[in-house]
Amino acid sequence: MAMPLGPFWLLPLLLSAVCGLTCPLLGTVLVLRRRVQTTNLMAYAVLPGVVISQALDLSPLLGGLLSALGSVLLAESLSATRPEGSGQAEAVLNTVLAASLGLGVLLVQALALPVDLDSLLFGDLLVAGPADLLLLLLALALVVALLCWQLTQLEWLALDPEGAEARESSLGPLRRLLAALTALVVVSATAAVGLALVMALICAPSLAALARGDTSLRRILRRAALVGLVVSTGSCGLALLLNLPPGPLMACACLPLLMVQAREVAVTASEDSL
Amino acid sequence: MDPPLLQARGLFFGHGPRPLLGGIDLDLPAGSRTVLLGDNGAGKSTLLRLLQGALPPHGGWVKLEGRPLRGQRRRVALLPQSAPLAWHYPIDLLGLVALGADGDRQCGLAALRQVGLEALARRAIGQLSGGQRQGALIARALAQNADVLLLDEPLAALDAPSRHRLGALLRLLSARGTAILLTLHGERPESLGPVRQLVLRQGRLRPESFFC
Repeated sequence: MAMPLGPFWLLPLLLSAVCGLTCPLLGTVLVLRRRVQTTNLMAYAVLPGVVISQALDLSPLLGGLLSALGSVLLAESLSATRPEGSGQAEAVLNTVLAASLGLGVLLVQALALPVDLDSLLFGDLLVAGPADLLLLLLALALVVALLCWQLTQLEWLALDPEGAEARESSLGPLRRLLAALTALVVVSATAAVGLALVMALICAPSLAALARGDTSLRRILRRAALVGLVVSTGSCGLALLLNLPPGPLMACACLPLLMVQAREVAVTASEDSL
Repeated sequence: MDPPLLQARGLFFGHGPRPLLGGIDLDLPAGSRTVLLGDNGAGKSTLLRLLQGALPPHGGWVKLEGRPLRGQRRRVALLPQSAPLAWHYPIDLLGLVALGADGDRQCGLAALRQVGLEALARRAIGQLSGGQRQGALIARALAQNADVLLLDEPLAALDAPSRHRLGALLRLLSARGTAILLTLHGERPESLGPVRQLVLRQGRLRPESFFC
């Protein structure tokens, strides 16, 4: 009997595995920093950059990174004068997100470019190449390095940024590094899950790891990476067996994960209240 | 003569003919306990932020041991009335306090011992009561080697036993050399002991008075 998974499937599986590790590791930091909305904006804002770079025959990676970071700067400048805590900044951010997506689609039409919007938005592991794997490995290495060398500063950033400033800890460079790394992870995960679905892999494993009420960030990060690895490679394997698109299957697999956690969170909360 | 631990001269903040703070002179010697009183909007919180360097003054200066505050701000801990801390963050009390000592858990444990919260070291910070949270922030300030504690309404929302405990803790810390300045609205707890009292009104500190 022929093996269902031969060497042909090795690259997609490796890609999904590295993506399944990278996204949740960074995602845990982003969830704790309450930067999920900004990451979502980045994911969609990659599109116009990728399209323009294709039109100019430049690297899509560079175009995507610049576009993602530019959109965040634009959203932050547009919301800077809005009252804090009013929800208006969030509304601005979502408007920039929609506009970025719209701009990307318009550019594809206007420039008549042969861009496969489906694979950009929803990923296509079968057309991904070794360069995509290398890019994801680079992103993973940078995320792990950041977590190893800046964990205490990252905790300050998420827990008490004002307190950190009062200690004269300079968090500005770390903030910028984190933003650049987020853009890199989003762009590099495009091949595996696509721009529209990457958020599921960033958020759901992190939420699963946080649901148990653990108080050690290192343990939470390890658990998030493990859950992400299982979801990602499991979905990829299943997609290959059933001839389904892996990206959407990964995103769908995250939903039952949340449902299981909802029960766990409720149990932890009731234990806390006792 | 040694300069006071924290010294402010001519602190000015605000614009127009009626600035919020119009030239504040203040000395906080080591081991002193000072209570700052004043109506809502009198500028108490602003003054505390100026003394910590969190807010740049429009005039005047603040010095710590005779040297500019810049570069030694971590020795002056400001505990805002409602600290914008993510209390849902997954970290235990010891982890939070150790952050003040750049992650040194031994130092964090020593600080927790000082404030009497050692037994709660492994408790998630989200499970701490209001009084315990104040204690946690004070312990973190101690772990970061703070010589001056500036507390903005630390007794607000605390029940009588918690007020008593916090007052006793502040008295103990000042006896060990920490300079303490706190703002109050209601009555001070007796456990705080004798304090120097200052009143901030119309942008100026009124003459000092002592009570026991």
